[in-house]
Amino acid sequence: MPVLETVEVSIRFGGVQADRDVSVALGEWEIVGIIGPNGAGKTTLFNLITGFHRPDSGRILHRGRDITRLPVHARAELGIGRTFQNVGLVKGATVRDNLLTAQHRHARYGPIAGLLGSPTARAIERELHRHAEELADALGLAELLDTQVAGLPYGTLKRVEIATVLASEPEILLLDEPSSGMGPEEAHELGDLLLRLRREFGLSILMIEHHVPLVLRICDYVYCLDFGELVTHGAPDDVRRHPQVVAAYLGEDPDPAVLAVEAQLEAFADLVDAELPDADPPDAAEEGG
Amino acid sequence: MGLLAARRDLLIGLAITAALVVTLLATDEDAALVIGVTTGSAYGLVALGLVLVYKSSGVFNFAQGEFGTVALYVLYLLDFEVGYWWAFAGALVAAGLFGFVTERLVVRPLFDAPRVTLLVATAGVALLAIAVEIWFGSAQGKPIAKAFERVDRVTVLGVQVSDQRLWLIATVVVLAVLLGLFFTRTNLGLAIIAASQEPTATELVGISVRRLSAFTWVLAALLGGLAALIAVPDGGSFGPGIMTSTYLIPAFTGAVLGGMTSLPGAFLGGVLVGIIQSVATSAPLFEDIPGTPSTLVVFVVLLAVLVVRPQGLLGKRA
Amino acid sequence: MTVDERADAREGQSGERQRPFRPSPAGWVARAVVLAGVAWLVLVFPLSRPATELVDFTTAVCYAIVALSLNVLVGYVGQISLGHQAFVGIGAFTSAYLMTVHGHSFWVGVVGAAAVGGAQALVLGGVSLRVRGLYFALVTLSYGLVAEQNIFQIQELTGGGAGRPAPKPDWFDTEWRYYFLCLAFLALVLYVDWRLMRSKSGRALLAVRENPRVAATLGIDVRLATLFAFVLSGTFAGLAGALIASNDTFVSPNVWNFNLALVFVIMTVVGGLRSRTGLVIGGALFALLPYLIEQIPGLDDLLADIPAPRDLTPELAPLVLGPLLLLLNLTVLPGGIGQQLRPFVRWLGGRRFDPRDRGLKEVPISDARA
Repeated sequence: MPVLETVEVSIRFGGVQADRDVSVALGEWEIVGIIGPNGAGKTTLFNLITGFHRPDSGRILHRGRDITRLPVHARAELGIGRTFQNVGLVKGATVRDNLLTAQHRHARYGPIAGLLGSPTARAIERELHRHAEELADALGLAELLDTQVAGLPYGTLKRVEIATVLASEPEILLLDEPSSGMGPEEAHELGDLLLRLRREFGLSILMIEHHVPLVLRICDYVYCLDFGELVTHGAPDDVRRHPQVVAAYLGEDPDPAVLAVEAQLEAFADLVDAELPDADPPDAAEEGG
Repeated sequence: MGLLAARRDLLIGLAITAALVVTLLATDEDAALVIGVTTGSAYGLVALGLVLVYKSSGVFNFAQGEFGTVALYVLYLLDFEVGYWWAFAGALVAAGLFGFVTERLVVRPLFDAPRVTLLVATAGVALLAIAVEIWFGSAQGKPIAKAFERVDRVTVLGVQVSDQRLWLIATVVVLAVLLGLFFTRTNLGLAIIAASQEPTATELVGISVRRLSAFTWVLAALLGGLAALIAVPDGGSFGPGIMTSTYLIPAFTGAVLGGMTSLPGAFLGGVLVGIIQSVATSAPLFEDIPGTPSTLVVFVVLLAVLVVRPQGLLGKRA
Repeated sequence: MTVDERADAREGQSGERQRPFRPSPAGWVARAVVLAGVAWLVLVFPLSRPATELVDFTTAVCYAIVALSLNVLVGYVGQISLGHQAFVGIGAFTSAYLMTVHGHSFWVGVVGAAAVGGAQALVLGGVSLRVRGLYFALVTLSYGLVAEQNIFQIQELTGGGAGRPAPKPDWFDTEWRYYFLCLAFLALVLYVDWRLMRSKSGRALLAVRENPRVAATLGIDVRLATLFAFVLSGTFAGLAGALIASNDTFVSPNVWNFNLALVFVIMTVVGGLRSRTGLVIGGALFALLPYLIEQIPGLDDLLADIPAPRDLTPELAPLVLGPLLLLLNLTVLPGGIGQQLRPFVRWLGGRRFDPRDRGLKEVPISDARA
């Protein structure tokens, strides 16, 4: 059974049909990619999954259970974590505070106990701090723990955001363009990180991405959206060659000559990879459309 | 969409009003109805200014009342020096000036600040105005003359409606219509709406958003001044903060009831609140409420609107 | 860069963790002297003053509590209450009522007032916190008016226009002892506020204030968090009301009006949102303004010299000065007194004195609702 699923969800905002009958499924421990040009309705789909909007029609299912009417924080309680395009953090607070806030649902003491400083509350708080420090160490953020988030460089912000969403100990991770702003080296490292996280934490990951090599490398399955509708879905390689996908990205009919050249470049890249097994960052030639 | 469907909200609003009127007539509350409409018109006029500022600056202007009280003080002072109508004109100019200064010194610097911050700032402006009124004037009330003295020319449903009140109602109706047309048919009006929704885009098209802001606030201040100058003298006296203490909350409630984004709604809402208030004052049902029953009833109406239909009668759903 | 340069760069960001700063012996002495001075001002100086002045000082302490209470709503959650005087006033009357009509002790009065304050907030918040900030402010303003014109006219509660007496508790029945009792309550409120910010509730509030959507994604129930803050705010306000009642030994229904609501907002904002030091000073300052104006030699003559049809009396001056300070604060100095004093407070705590330390940067708040 898919761990997360949307069943023909549609939503319209004023005159715009943002999503129409979109059905995606995320299996346990899968990494599923969602690709498509800007404005295709990908982030809107995420917003529907996390509960910022109710779909006009269709359902959202979590392990078979209908969560379409569940409020946002209740979905978070189910272990659904999410990152945002413009970095979802409490920017006015420090990195440490963000990591602590993310553990909100794990802080099992009542608000009154917190106000009075009961021993239980204090013990749990110490535990939260410890966990925050562990995560910060794991992601190389130890020195920035007490720095305010606002003003940190963009790449660091994304790392903080990942640490924060991990602090909430999710089962399912919704990543909205995690590689945006990253160069090819960093994107490769991100891919490694995501694979490692899946292994170590047993995560199922749904991610919106524009970075095609990343998608090809780590996704088990891919959905492509355009103008709010599913264009195609399948294994990454198949989706990538689908004519409508190519057209959506390039905006024109696919030229067989172009496809042939791309196929050759890919073969060459595979050759290079095979010759040099330890992961050197891919060079420019591998950067496809 | 047919004309009828498009105007559906307006029809609902009118239907509710009609139902209310019929109920009042049926229960012999004629006097309450007439008084309610006249006081309500004043609320409507203040509400017009509130909605104007909300549409353009996105904030609730808590100083709207004091734009009017200041005008009253100027009218009072000038009336001794020059003729009544010159004093009236001078008072309006003073109100406009107050609005302009507020826009420059308070609204402009807080252009990008959260709207709640600006709201607190307007409340500060109101308090400052009241403090200066007490300081320069005195804490006690002063008498103020009417423009039209005659009271017995017109009688509606057994209640005498003074000339001053007729003038108020006529002014409000005319202004509501004019402003409605202004915002939907003139370039300047459309520009103001555009600037409030998309300031960057508006600037890019070559319209000075800042100049529009000044214009809007001056206009709102003039409306506030008019409301005070026409409505308050009917009661014969005024004192520091009178507009804020007696007109502001009902006007806000009326604006919310009408839908904060609708100018005709502001007028309709104001009149409805006036009627509700007048019924609350006279009807035996509310007799046991301690103090001023209408205050509580208006509060309940505000809560009810916000809970049941936050966009009011004529507003757009957010 | 050399290793030392890299270390310096790191210290610039989070110096305390790399090479903690330790004040010199002279530095410690200086800090101790300042703290002793503050302690003297708060604890010793009032002992030598006449009773009438003690009443003013106690009012200052109570206003500090009001500022802290309003800050929970305005500073931590980002909602404005323009009817806060209703909570304080109803607390005052509740205490007076319980003591005078039902013969309970002061302590019952205090607890009752705090409970009523919290309950009011629960009911009002339950209904109106679903709406956006501007509308919520309007509801609180309207509620303040209802308090003034309806609730405080209830004969049973307020004894009509005459008001109700409110005695002091048995062991603290002199002005000096009562002052220290109120100081103890202030310390309690400060402690609870401090604990709030170190617990999950406080962090949740700050997240909700800045970005409700992200907060919800982290599992925070935005409505509940806001309601919790409002109830806490109301509880503190009710407590302050009870303390004010017994300070004045009398509660009158006529002082709890829109002006007072704004004074409360002003002293909270000017004091400095989210800064406990600033809030206490802001509250105390506004309570003591008439007193200070009279004490400072020549100030009342200066005020009278301002060209105007009438003199600006010490009673009137705060009313004019307050809004001016507010507007100045909102447009030019958003952090208030608290932000300006931050370098000193950090210095007192053993850190290096850094005049440019303005604390955490203000971050634009998202208007999107979860």
